[in-house]
Amino acid sequence: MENYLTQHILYIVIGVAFFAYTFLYGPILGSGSVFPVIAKNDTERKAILHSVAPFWDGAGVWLIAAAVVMWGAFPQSYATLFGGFFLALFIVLFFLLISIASIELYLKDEKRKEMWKNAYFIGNLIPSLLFGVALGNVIMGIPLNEDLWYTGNFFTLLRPYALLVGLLGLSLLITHAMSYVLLKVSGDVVERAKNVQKISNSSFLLLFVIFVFWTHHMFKDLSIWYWVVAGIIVLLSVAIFFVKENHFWISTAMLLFSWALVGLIQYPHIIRGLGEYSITLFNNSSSALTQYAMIIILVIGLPFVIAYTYYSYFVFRGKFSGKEQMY
Amino acid sequence: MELLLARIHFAMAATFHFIFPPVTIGLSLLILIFQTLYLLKGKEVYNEISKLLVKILAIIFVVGVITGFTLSFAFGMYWAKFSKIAADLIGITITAEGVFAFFLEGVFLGLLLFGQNRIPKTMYWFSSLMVFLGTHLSAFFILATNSWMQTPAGHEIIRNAAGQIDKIIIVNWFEAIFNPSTIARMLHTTIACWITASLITSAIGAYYLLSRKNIDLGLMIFRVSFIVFALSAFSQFLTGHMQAMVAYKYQPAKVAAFEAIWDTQRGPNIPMSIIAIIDEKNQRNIINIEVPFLNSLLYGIEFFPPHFDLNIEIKGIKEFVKKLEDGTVVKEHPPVAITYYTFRIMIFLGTFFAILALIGLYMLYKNKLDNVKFLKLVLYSWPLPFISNTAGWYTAEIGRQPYIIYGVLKTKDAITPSLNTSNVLLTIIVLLALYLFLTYIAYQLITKIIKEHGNETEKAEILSSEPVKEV
Repeated sequence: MENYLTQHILYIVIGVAFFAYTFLYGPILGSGSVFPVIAKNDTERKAILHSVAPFWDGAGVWLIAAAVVMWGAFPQSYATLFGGFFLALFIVLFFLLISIASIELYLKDEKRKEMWKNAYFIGNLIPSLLFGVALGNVIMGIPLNEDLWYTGNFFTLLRPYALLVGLLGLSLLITHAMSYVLLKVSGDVVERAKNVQKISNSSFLLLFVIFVFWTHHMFKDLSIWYWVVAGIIVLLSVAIFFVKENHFWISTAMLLFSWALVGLIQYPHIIRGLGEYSITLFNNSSSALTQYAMIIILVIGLPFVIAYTYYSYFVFRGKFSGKEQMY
Repeated sequence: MELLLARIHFAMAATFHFIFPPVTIGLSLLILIFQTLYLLKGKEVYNEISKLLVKILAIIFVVGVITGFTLSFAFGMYWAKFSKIAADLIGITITAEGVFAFFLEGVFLGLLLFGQNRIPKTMYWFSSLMVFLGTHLSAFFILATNSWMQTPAGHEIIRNAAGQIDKIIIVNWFEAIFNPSTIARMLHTTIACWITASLITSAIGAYYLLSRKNIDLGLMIFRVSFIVFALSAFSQFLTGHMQAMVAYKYQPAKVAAFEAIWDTQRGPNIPMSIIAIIDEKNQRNIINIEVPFLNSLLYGIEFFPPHFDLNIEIKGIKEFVKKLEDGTVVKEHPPVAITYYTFRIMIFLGTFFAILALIGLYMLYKNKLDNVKFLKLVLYSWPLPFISNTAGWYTAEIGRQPYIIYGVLKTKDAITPSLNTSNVLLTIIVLLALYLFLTYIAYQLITKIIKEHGNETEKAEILSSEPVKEV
């Protein structure tokens, strides 16, 4: 309990891992969510899938990383979240699985191309929406008993605020993914991606303003930093309309500041309870030895991860047209 | 009911998952071997083989990731209490697996799959080394976790006021990770993976030799794979024995079930049951074919560290049935019949692999790779390692029941408090349907890759010869 330092570090690590997941895997989630709109034929679909195929696994691991760090560092939050959101998480899982399958299999399974095309669409659209819904629930609070277990059911999760965060997440992921498409894909897809981004970014901006005031209405005691970070996100979102190139780093910054905003709203809670019991940084951590061991593992491992991830993006630099030989 | 369904879910999810990683792990070794040969000797055939194997690996890997993803969710979804109680250990092992292994294999597999035209030869070889390292490290960390659940060490138990386990604190994480069964299990499981993949690649070689297609490639892939297979199959007896010795020391109830011994036996002449019909209800074996002295011999000799004493004791299953004061009977032992039979299936198949390896080495030595019967035997043997792998895991996991963490936490106390029967049933059905479908597609695509390999080169030759005709 006295060991505040490691808990804070691991709290930030979880946030960073979620950011990295949306940053690197977001292009897949977002491009899949609008797949039928931006890609009209086989070559265009291939162009998008080629642009993510070498990276999907390394990117997807960040979600696992976020989950396992939460598991190891704050066991009760992991147990409550995964055990409590059972059905919702299973839906996310199922669609994520078919999306993973679709990336490789669209390119290989000639007989069922039509099916894998749809799988890449639905398989990414549903998780893109539900991740936000889950996050919205965690922010506004869920019913917890005194042992910190979830006492609601599946329908508890479908509250308006949570659905708003779901739509917000979806539009942000699409905006980010379109920046990625502009960066990594060539051909007719690009023009369509620009148009989609205009729509997704506008809806993000609108929903975000509602989100900011609604959240403030729920938690009156938010610090000045809340407004500063929210302001930065608005500016970045507006900037996307005006800046012609390198949107990718703007949308990346939007993701980064959005996660920072979530951290600011949540701190020191991990999962807010609706009643008097909440899961915080301090009432459910693992032993100090385990937390130090985890930090040591991360300090040793992550520089390598970043280095070879960078190398892999360097090797597969440039734009994909869908006509290149990948194997 | 929830408990039973949660266990069925996990058995289903884990059984399906373990179809794929053994192939991934074993193929990563073979790809590394062929890439090393290619780097050293420069013959194009080595690279051809590694390209073929990488294509197969890609498909297996995707299904492996999908089924594995489910498991990492499943701990929290179905076994939330376990997840909470054991988080101290798992925080270390799974974080390490993620950081050191998942990223490594994920990123470098991308390079292996798509990178051959983009990176230098040595970097490509290095990628195959990193994929090899990643898959094996991943195996190590998850097996260390499993081993700790089998033979927990380096921990302290914190109980709440009611005397129930609140959490388990790791006080010595070196002891926890290298607990008594880690090394034996790591060796035994890894080698099982090598057997699985090398028998598959041997079967691919046999297929090419039988169908008189890609003969050079078929010969080369057969020779190298079969040597890996033979070495693995032989050494598996040693690691299997190591595993049995760990169980003998730390999980006596499991050994009693392995051998279907109901009453405690002592001395240098304990026979070993080869095959028996188990009557679990009346606690006896109906028909039992035994080899005299064999159990005393097997459990009396230890290699690491060397120890020899045939005068041993094997506790009987009846010793693990306790009667409480209020008359209830508590079984502290696993279900006997299923542990016994799965153990036998594993051992019989292991013996078959060793015999096949002996025959094959003789054929290789005598240069008789045109023997159709032998090649067919190898070809049709490829599914067997999957059966022995599954049987082996069932032996290990069912054999430690009723505990999820041996001697510490019972499986029934580990499930999620709010688990709902119909939800669990739904997930089982949906996942099973998805897995069956994906496995079917994977099988279809892989056989297609194998069958069509070489056709492209022939086509390419025809194409390249056309302009010559025109001239």
